[in-house]
Amino acid sequence: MISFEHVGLRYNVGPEVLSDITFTLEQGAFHFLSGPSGAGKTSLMKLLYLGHLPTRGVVKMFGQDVVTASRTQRMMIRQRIGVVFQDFRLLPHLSAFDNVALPLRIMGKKPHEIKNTVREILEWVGLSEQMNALPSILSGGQQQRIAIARAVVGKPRLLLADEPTGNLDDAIGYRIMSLFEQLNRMGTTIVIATHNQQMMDHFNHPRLTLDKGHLAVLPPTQKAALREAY
Amino acid sequence: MARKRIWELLPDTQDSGTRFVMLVVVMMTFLATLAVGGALVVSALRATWVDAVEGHITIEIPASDGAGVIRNADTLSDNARGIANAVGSLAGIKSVHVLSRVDIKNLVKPWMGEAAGTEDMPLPALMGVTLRDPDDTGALEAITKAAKALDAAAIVEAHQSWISDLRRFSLVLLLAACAMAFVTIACCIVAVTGAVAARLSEHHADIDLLHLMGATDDYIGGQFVQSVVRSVGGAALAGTVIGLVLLKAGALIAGNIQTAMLPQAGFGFADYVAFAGLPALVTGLCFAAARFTVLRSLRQMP
Repeated sequence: MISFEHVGLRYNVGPEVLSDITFTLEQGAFHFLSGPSGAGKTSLMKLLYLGHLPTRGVVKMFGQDVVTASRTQRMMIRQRIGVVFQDFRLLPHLSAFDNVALPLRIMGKKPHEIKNTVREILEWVGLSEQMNALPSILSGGQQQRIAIARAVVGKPRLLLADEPTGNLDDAIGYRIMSLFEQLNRMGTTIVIATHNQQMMDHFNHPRLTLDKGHLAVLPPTQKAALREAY
Repeated sequence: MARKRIWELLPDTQDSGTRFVMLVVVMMTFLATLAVGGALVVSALRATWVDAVEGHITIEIPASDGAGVIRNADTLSDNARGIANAVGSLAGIKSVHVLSRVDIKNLVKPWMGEAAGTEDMPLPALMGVTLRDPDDTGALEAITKAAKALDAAAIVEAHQSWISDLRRFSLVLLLAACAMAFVTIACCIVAVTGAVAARLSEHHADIDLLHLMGATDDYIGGQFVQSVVRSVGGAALAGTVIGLVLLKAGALIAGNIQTAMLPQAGFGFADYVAFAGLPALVTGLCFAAARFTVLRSLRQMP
């Protein structure tokens, strides 16, 4: 479903921040993306959500080469991707409801469908009481849950999340991870960028590990003892 | 919850910068309205002037003959009647009017003063000839021939030089008014384009987010352009209305104009249609400029 072949990325005339990245994500895959700060995790995420196009190599998403795809085709690809940004990126003038409804409105869904779906997802993330609140009056954890709700509301085929549980306590973090696994079981491909070794150890998924712009694909490292601690 | 209108996804900025731009649009449209009003007045003036002289030929029989001897008024009168009859029988002549001595005295009075009223004052004989077709170029030659045959000193004047001067002068005024309207509308477009570019910059992060969610360029552009249409449309309408009020006040002050050489103050239905088109034109051009600016900026995103 998603394939990177010898992909490189550089910003303007700077050095390559990603070099010779090659990997494939099949439909229904669940991967963690890890690596030290500055390793290129955010850059790889940007390539995955088409925030940037590669400077070399081939990126194919949903059967289309993203470089040669038309703008309209790239827009259609983006509509199939849900993104949880590390800094949430909620629109400050819109309520929690409207922030979550944004992807559905862009897709052109009908008002009653938007209303029902958004209420359902807000209830699931435990924010149905705050649906009319502006992001500025919500806590960091609540904002993160709104960002997660917005990413999953359109039932994306690919979900990208950058440190999605960073601001959440363990219980809510576990609940959010469970939602991601639930979505994964329904066929959504998921990539979660995280530093959280404990979480990676707890959930049984392979890892994409970046170091100095180079990628390695590692098998899952489940540690039962840590599951207890979670 | 009601469906959000497309432009409500981004905040409808009403900061001081936006209000300033809208004030500029009001003032510029006001000036454009005055310029259009000026252009319409010049057009009416030009039509009045040209209508007054075009298709009219004047025949003058000088008071003195070729040797400088003052001729008898009765002789002049007889010659004038003869020429009038001869010219009136020519093809293409609508009417011939011989001015009485009193009419001629009244014509020269502003320049000669009371001296024009004395009986011994030598005055020429004058005739006004109206052509059926103002563009009948052969008429002048036929009239000249007929007049000279009866009085060799007769002078035939078709006012071509006067008409040509009037046309050039009024054209210059018309072009100046149009240039002023053009420049003021261009100022509106520049101001609105700048405001849109500033707003794009201000909301770059929001736009980037919509872009990453798969919103099309047209969808995102709609956020800005529809907002621009609403704001500029209102401002342009306000500027036009203020301008019209001023022009109407000017027409009331000018009152009922009696002089045939000046048009009546005020505007007709067609003129008001032109004024109504002004805010639509400003809004339309600003819409196009804003859309172009937004889409050009969005196309720089991957």
